[in-house]
Amino acid sequence: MTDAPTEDTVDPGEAMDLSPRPARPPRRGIRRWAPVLVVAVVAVVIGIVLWRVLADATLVFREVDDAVERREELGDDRFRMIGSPVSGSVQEVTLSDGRPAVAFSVTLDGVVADVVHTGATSDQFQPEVPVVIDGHWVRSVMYSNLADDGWYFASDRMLVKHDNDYRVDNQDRIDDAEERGQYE
Amino acid sequence: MTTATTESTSTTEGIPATTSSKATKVLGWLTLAGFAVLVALAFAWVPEDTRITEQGDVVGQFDAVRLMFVHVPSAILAYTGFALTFLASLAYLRWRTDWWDMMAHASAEIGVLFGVLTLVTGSIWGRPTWQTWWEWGDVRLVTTLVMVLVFIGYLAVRRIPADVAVKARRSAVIALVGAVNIVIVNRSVDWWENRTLHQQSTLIARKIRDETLFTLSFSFAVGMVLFAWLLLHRFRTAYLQSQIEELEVNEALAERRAEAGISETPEGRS
Repeated sequence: MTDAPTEDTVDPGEAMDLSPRPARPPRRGIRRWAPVLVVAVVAVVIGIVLWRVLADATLVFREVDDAVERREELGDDRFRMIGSPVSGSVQEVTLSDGRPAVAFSVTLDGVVADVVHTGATSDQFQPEVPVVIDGHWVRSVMYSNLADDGWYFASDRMLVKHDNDYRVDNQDRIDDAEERGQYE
Repeated sequence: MTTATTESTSTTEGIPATTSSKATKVLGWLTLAGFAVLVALAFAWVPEDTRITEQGDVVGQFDAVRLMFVHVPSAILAYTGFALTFLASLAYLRWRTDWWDMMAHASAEIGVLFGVLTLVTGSIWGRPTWQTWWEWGDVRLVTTLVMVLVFIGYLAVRRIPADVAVKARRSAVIALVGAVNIVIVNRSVDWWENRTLHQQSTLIARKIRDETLFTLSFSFAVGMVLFAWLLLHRFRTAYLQSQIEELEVNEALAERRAEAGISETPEGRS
């Protein structure tokens, strides 16, 4: 620690000049203000992040059963729906305006909904791996799939919500699939 | 391996010239060896993530799953760093010693380092698995970002010129407030399951194959050794910095004494 002058170190006969020195000029420029600036920037960024989170009304993923149940209420509103693509339901279609699309069905808790997706599909777009699709309901029988209930979900953005399962329950099936050339 | 060094001049006698010691050298070499083994395990031993559905479809994350061995330990080490900052800040407010303040500072820096690594590796992993680099509004992603930003702010506040005790007290309070977010980040995947693409905990659910679990556990161990190595060096750097600052104060006092014609020691008093 610092050795402050004490009675042992200071000769009483030689009084130290304790008159204050002129203060150093304060640090100027970016060095002085940089930390304050960083704090301000961090505070603003946190504010923007929170604002964006609170402002984004499409955050909640509606599960298929909930989205189907509230179909009338939701109308043309855009929202995100989560469900697992049903194996064997995926088919490439062409819309009336000539755009290519992918039609498939998603399911959750036994409720099935038909989907027509016009955006990019994920590399992880796989049966039974839940997808989050961004779009709205359309009342039409034009693109019926497994649900065939007079509605389809028109989506243009697809995200994949991978589950937390990293087990292999059926190694023998994987070996068979490799032999068939289904997977390398 | 970088070590902070100080010039061995007459004014720095008694202060170690390096932050390195036998213990840190052992930790450093263990980290390097551990990383080499981890890379071998992750790429040569652990199989890619695949499953076959009942309909015969091959699904999974395939090779992307190997990012788990960097991303998950990074997140755990970020939590560890910030939790340690919280505990050290609490201890500082109780006992007001420089040791706890330096510990809080050192662990916060390491926490930020691993927090940024968590965000970067998560983003890289998210692109092939989720189809997006970043998703605004995803609670897990955003709360993690806020956690890292809060502790970057903590480090910035420490750089604002102020009395040492004021600076330490001010930053300790920020650490206590910021630490609340650690719990929110960790529990967000369960509390807001339908507001995040992030999966729930695999380890708690025990849905992981043996080879992956072993390698993940090994990556935690290597990460902890790296954390200890970084913490020791950073803490010692902070200690040396405080010693040098103390020396500067002593030198300034000596200059004042010399100006006043007073010798430094009672023995050498003229």
